Amino acid sequence: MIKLQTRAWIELAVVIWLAAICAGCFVLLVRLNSRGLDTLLIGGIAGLIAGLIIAVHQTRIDRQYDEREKQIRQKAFSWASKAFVVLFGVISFVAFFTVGGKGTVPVYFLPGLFFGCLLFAQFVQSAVILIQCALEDNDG
Amino acid sequence: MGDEMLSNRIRRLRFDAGEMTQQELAEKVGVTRQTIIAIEQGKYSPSLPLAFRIARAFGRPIEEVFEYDREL
Repeated sequence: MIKLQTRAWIELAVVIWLAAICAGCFVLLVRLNSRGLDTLLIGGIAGLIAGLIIAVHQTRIDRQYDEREKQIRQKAFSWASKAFVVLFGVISFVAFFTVGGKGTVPVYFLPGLFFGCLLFAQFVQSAVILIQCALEDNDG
Repeated sequence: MGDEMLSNRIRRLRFDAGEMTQQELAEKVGVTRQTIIAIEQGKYSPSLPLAFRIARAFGRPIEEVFEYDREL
């Protein structure tokens, strides 16, 4: 298994674990009737900072990959970007048609939507890397 | 426009070069073994610099290693 695949498996595991934890916390905080939503905000900002640090670290790691691995990553990133836009659009329109044009949604819905889409995009990226590697890795 | 394909003789040349393994070739040209496998099987077309590095690893001109087939 090459470094790219190992990394994709780790990212996939982290995303699934993070999604479960985030969803649990989100539901808990909303059920507590807005109490602790400030904490959620702080958590969100911390998450964004952590994401930025990971992104910078990621570009350093990217230099270690060879050209084929970089191409696989680029394709996966392209799929992840599309997944992000599609999911963001779908949820926005579902919310619009569910709540109605004059209805309102709680503000915490927005960061929840953003982070949800981000996690889904990361999931798609890891999955696409693993699928592409599996398709090309028939030993000759 | 027809199908474009880059065929290669890497497998043949590896055996001619004292049964060089895919791993040895990969280390010589600075890529992973999986990339060499993908190139050999025609699933991945290498960049021009990598194609030159592979050709040099065998001490052959690039046109002896890679062939560009295009069906019109």
